[in-house]
Amino acid sequence: MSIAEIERLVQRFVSGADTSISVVHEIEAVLDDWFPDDDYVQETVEMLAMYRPGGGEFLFDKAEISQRLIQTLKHLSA
Amino acid sequence: MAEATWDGAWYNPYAPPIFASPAPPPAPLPLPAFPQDRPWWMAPPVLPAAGATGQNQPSASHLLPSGHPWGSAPLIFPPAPADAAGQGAPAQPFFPTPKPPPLADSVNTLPATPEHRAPDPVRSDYQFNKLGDAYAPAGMTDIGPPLIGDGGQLFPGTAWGRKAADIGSQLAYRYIHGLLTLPQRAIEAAQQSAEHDFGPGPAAISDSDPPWQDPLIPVAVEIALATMGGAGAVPARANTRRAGLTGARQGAAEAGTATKATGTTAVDAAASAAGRGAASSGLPAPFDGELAARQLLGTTRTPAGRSIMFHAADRMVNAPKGRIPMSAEDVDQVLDGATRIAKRSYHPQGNTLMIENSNMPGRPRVVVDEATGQRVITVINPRQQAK
Repeated sequence: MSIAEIERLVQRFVSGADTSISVVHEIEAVLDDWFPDDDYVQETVEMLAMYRPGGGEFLFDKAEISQRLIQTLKHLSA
Repeated sequence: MAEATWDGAWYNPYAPPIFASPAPPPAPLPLPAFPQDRPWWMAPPVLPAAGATGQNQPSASHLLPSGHPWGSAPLIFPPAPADAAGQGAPAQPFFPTPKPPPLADSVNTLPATPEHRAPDPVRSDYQFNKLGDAYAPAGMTDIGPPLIGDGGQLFPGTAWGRKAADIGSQLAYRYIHGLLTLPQRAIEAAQQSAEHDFGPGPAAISDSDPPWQDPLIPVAVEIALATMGGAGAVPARANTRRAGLTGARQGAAEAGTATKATGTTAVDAAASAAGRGAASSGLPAPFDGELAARQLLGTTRTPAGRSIMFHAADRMVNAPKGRIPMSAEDVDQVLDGATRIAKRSYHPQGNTLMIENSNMPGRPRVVVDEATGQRVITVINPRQQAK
């Protein structure tokens, strides 16, 4: 999976086309495998591991995850 | 700063006047003596002495301020008896008696005619007061027109005044009419809103329309499914009657056995499911994370007594893509043998800590709350562990 594929998944989630937890898990696994030593990406992985579509106690909802994914893409393209 | 005070004197009718009173009228001119060449009947009236009321005299309440009875002509008394000089000197000096004006209408407050209002240089008992509605007794001072009129009930008013009154009355009528019809209009608006959301009601369907069916049934199915759990993703929302029936059928199919067992219609099954859902628990049903975690793991505690939240339990059992399942014992092993705190993150509900055990295969990580460290929020167990 390439960066373009990650961007495609992120775009699907951010646009609201697919906000399921499976898509987030897929992004989480890819980022964790590709950037194990990047603290920023690892923090994103932690947030993705705490994603729940409706949110919850100590969990993150769609709005927070969308914002974090956009910032992560900017971080990776920088 | 001086505090402004107000003594209320400007509206108090008994308060002394603010503005200076008009100048007092000039002193009466010295009256000429009664000419002796005039006949005696031209002499001014001489009122009887006070208390000299006879048997045929009216009482004081029936007398004009001048002392004359109402409706009677001025009395002309014979001249006074001759004095020592033998001349009949009048008791009062002569002055021309003005023509008494007609009695003013007690309602009409139109100003009197100039003829009646013309001040007489010499005042008499019948002088017409400028107020125009009564005879003023002798000796009263003319102070001009009243400062505050009585409104003039028969005064025709001005054109703009009548127009303003007409507009005001119409506005008042519309306001009161709207106030009285508000409940009925509110009912009609609520009916239209309900028909917009759930389709036309029985009153809005003509004979040519198909038979009306209660659109609230699919809504009840949706609520019942949400209560029963596991079928919340089924949209049984109904905006029209057709969509409502479709949603009811879908809801009944998701509800389970009712449709298959009894063979009843979808609507009946949906209604039955709605009834069971409403009877089993309150509406809407809150999400019970502890119950869900117990259903997944069989317990909500690790062997060491740490609390496993539902999201962590879900990831431990239903491992995401690229992860592997994780047991409750593994969670205790990661936390008890932690090698480092991988990250400390901010969360609106409290900071979280990501604990990592590098000695375990795959370097699994467990996220706990910073406050107690006893609540397992999520787990990350990479696939490398299987290698």
